Amino acid sequence: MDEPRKWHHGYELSKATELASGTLYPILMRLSDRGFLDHKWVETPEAGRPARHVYRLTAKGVAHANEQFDLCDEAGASATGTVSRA
Amino acid sequence: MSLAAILFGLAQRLMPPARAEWLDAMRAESDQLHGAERTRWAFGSFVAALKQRFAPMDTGNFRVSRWVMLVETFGAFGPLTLGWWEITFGGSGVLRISPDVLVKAFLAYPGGPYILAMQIAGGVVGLLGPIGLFLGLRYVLTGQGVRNRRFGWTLVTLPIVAHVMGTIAGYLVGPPDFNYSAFGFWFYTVMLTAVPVGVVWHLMVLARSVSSISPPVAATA
Repeated sequence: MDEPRKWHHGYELSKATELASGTLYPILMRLSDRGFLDHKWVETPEAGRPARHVYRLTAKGVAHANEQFDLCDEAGASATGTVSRA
Repeated sequence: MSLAAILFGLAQRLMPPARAEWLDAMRAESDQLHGAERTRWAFGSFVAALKQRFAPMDTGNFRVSRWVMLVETFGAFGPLTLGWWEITFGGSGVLRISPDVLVKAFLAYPGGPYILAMQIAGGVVGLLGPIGLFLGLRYVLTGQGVRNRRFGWTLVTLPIVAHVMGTIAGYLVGPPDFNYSAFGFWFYTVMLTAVPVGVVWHLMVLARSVSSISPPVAATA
């Protein structure tokens, strides 16, 4: 959430969230279905490597995420302990 | 062929066509990885594909096709019906117990009356087998579930009560070697009680949702 409008690779997101690919991608699919996530293919600089999917939150996704963080903040210390904006 | 390639091959077969792009994305991502990490990523792709395959089935309303109910019906009530038939009409069934057998085989041994009582109770409660077969097949043919709530709850409650009481009574007045074993759990508790009761409950839910949702999915759907 530090740079919500920056594009990220799936592997990068997997590392950042500590979610396995089998958990992360269904979440990405659902976020995309709900209009919270943009995705596109980008060419890789290395020759012979396939293009990679990259992702970023849409404006609607950023607004929704902020809304959820605010709800967690309101819910008290126990919630903020498990969910952080970083 | 590597394990990762095999997993991606399986994932490709499972992933719904509308989600194919996402599998391509996962495969492209795996190209950046090596060794065990690539295999783990491929396994994740397989899991993700599996989840996408099952997601459309999760409608939350317990609606099933007639074919699924046919399998449910025979799976849940078939063994119970066979057991009920044997315990009632079989060679040692309740209906074949003569006064002589009653004395020699049951009353003469410790716990014998308990065995006899359980056999008679099994003959009564086991009626859930043929009744369930009828109700399940009726749903398959006509789409009609169990609408009578009182009847349905009787079919749900009676086997559970009989099973619990029978087990407790077994320890109190059963044969000295009475023991609720792992076999007892899987055979009596799960197969002959929980599963049939679950399907009766399912038929009750289906009856409740028939008018509000839609007719049963056609066999060809």
